Amino acid sequence: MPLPSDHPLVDGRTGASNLVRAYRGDRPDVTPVWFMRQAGRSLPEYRQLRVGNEMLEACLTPSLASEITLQPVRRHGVDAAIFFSDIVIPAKLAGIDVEIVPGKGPVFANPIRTASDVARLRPIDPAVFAPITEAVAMTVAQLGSTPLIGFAGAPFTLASYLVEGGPSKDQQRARTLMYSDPQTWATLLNWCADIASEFLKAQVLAGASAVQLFDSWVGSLSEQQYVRRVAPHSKRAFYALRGLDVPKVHFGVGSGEVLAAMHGIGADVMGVDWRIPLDEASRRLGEDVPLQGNIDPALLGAPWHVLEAHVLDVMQRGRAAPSHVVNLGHGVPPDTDPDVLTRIVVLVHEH
Amino acid sequence: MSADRFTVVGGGIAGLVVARRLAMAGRSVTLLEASDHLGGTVARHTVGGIDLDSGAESFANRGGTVAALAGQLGLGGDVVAPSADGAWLQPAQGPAVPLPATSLLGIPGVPLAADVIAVVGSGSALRAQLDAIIPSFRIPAGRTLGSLVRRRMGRGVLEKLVAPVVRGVHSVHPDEILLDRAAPGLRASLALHGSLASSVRAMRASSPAGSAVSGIRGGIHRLVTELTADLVTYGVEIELGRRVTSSARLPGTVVLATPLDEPAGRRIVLGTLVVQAPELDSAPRGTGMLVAEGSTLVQARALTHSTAKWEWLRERAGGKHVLRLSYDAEPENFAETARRDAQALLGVDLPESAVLDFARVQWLRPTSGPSEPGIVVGESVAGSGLAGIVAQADRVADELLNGPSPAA
Repeated sequence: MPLPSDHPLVDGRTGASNLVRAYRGDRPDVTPVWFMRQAGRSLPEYRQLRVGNEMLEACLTPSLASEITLQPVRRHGVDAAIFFSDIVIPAKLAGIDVEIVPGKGPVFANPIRTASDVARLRPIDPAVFAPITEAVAMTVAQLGSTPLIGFAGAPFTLASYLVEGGPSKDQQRARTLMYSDPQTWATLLNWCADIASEFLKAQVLAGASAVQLFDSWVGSLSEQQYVRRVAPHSKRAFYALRGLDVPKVHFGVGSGEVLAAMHGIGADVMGVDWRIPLDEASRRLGEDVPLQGNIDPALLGAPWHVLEAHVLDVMQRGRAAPSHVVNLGHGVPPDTDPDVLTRIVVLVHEH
Repeated sequence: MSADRFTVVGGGIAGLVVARRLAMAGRSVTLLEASDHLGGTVARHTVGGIDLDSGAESFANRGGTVAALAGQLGLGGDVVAPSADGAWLQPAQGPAVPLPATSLLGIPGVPLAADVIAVVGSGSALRAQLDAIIPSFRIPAGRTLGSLVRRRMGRGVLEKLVAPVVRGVHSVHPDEILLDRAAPGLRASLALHGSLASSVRAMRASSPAGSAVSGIRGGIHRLVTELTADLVTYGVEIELGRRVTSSARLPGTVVLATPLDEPAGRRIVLGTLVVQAPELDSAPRGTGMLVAEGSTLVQARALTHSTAKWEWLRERAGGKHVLRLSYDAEPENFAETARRDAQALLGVDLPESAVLDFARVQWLRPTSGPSEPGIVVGESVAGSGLAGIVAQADRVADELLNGPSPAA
């Protein structure tokens, strides 16, 4: 399946953007920068817009999702928009009863824990992504030459939410299921991979110029667990996008042990968290993989000269990779001063 | 150039191994299984509250094939050796005796050893010793194990030692099984060392950790759980309850992992007893017993004292004992017969009140013979035993993916 002829990567809008060039291994004169979770809680204009709107409803209301996606692009001048959504959105659209409880995160009414729970999961109908398609199309129409990055949670992280019934410290129930019933585990992760890939596909076909698969909780796995019980399913999620020629970014928190294995699922670009410096990450990846990252979010609240030195160090170490997109090592903390983010964008663009 | 689409008929171990290999290499694979479960005779049942293997409970270490598969399936750390206590033999007449320590399928590595003489008598042991001076000869293909042993070591060793062991392992008399199928590698070893006894000693010395077999903590059936998980992971379409009588209309390249016609083979009948009998704690007959043909003491032809053989099972059984008896046909009053046979074979009192549970299992073991045309894997071509079945299925998968191997 090729990209549509009016897709921004095909009709010339975003193909020469600094972000897409860097994702493809080229080094533009100006280093591109964006921030995970740039759309959302840290922006006053977001908090104002969200008043009276439940989180997942906002994600599924095209005008709201689009506006929230565009806010940080206008304010910070970042090099990409990241589609405002939530990791559980495809599960919700597949009919799973889930809501976001403020201060807690997603909560599932009926966790998926047994073989019969998993057997009841049905394949998703791509038509349910209509609100996503609409929101992406509205956003892309206003972004011009700024690329939009599509978003989805990786099968392991999504499955962990489903099994645990919500956020958890170390995904213990999920990791137990992995061993107590490997077949049920595999079936569940395939389902998660399929809804994630349909979610990504909807965003790409509607105009996203790149995709990022988030495996937020991959850090709770050993390399052996990851390679055997998780990686094949993440690979399945990306494989379903074959033919759609968009750069694929893969990111996990605490991914140092599994960085190379994560790249092996078919990622073009690896996002790196703040725990390992980019030159070391590049070494682990064989020095030919474009990198994204990895400003420590904890330093966003530090004095500017400390943060500035850190950002410059990140950029310097990023030179070890063929190309580099500056980002945080994890999402923007909600209490971040948005002006600090704007200042980072200026700094990165000047160096 | 290899095909992209495959249909594997039969979901026993061989079918699972081939389907997994093909799917992991990116091929599109459908697996059709006539029954309602995968794994064939490698399966689990629960007896007396204990999860047990209902079929195969160990595998030969030969070639390292099954251990390698277990490793790939994340079970490498759970491959375990059985107890170093050997098995015993119930001769046709007389009391039970331990099987000779150094032997292969009952073929003694030291024919004049005391533990050999105790089984076959000094006359037969002396005859077997002639093996050392009989000139080596080229063994024609098609030679049975029985004829080789008879010629080199005599009838005594053949009937009193080798026959009970071969019957326990392969369910046939040594005269009914080809040398290369019963004891792969023995022909080559014989060509190298000249005598049968020295070949046996050399082969035993090269097998890992002294034991010829291994198990998996938790049971061999864990292989099926993990193989099935991989099949799901790599997108194999699994259809249970699909009996196939002709491969003509199946899509893609067809791999037969089960006979298409009604299986005609030897019946394997197993009775499993879970008993409360502290006298068994000392493992009075080691890991179990083989029964020589002609014994009138019992109907069973072998007994495995599973909780003596596997440490992990002893821990799990919490003081209970698991005894598994095999038969050529299902006896009358099976549970009662099994109890009495176990009592006679083990030499301990096992009253009815000691029996906590009993389970019966039976299946047909396909006979080898003129095979189906086409690509065939499994017991009908590889013989019985997981080591041979997995190795042959792996070879076939290699050839399907990479073309015929030059060595073959």
